[in-house]
Amino acid sequence: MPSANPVMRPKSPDRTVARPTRFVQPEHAIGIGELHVLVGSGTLITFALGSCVGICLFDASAQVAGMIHIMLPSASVGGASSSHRPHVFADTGIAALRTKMLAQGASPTAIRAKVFGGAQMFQAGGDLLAVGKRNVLATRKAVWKLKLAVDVQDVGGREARTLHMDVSSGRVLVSKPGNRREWV
Amino acid sequence: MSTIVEKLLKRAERVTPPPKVLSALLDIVAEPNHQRADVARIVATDATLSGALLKLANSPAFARRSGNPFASIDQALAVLGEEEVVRLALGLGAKVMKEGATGYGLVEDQLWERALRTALAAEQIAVRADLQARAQCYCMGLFLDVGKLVMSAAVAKMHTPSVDSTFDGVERDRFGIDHAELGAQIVQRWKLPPAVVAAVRYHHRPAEAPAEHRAICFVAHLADSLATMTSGAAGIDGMGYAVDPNWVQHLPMTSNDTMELMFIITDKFESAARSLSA
Repeated sequence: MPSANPVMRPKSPDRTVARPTRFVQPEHAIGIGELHVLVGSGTLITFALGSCVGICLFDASAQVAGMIHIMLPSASVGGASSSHRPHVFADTGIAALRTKMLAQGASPTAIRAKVFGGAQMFQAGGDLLAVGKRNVLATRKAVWKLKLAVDVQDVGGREARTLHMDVSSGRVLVSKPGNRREWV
Repeated sequence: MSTIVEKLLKRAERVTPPPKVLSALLDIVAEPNHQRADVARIVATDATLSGALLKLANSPAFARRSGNPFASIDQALAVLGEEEVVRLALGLGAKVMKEGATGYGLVEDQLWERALRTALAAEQIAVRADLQARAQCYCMGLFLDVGKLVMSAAVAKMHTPSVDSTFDGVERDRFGIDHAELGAQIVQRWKLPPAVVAAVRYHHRPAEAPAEHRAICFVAHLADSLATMTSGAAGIDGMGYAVDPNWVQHLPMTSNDTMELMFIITDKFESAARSLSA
């Protein structure tokens, strides 16, 4: 996670924090193998995407936004235990995120996707540790199966990415090492 | 020897050692014909470990539903099993990793969490590779980055290196020593087994390890990589290391195996963290 200014991760299991003033929007930090949906306003955050992939889904008209941080391409690698942690995997997690968004009022035809991460984490290493590439391929496949249009892909490379998604606009701030930041 | 190296080595001497019982425990469980009584005798020499062992054996997770609580170490060992006892001793011994390494971007408990993930990864790799020295693998996983405790302040003042250089290479260029060598000096001083010392020293360059320890060094190398890939906290250096592509010749695995290991580490991490924090 080559961020020059590492940010402390919240420790509370329930990481949605509604601040006391009406001017501050809720923020929710999403760890590996987790997803979350917010409606109307707020920020969804995930830190240090290396070989993992962060998928941001957004329905602009319903203002429903969701984010997931997947670690592995397919639930098949986890055997029977996979069912306890479906959000770890691209093939089961992205579908679960979409389902949760639909339950919160999103329209199946209006959801659009932005995909980040899937970096090659190490120099050399061989194909067996190229999990980032596999995660990106599995994400594309899952997104295609769910008929989600992809607006932005910032994947691969050798850098970690931290994401802040603004729920009201669906825009995502992508932070990379060296304080490089870009809204997409 | 440069002044910087001397200063770092001096600082390494001050890192809090684990209880002395740990190295004796690791030695005895590595003996193929050891008995439970041998382990109990060693545990009994350390009051803190004995107390923690009895507390764990009498905790709701293990305690008998009726009858008197366990009062002897031998009974507690019979209930928990020696693997759990070694983990407990290592957990007590590795508390030093909770000091963190903010220079590496590892804040709060992130160095400790990484250490635990690496230990779990090393143990699982040892199971796959059918290595007997599983306790040693778990131990070296916990202490693989102990050198970062010492190097952290110096690294904090360093410019972030480009992604083309390896982070350990930059440490050697800049300070004349890397965190792996510093860590090896520390665990050697603690009298941990030679295989653990070698694994700490060569975990980024396993091919350079002496032949008798090369296998465990490759376990350390892969465990370190898998821990980085399963952790949200890889620090500023996590993606700055080279993986020796020859690891697969020492640890025959498929890509599915490595991904399955990543899942197992993730799955085991929370319960292991809970039990070690208890």
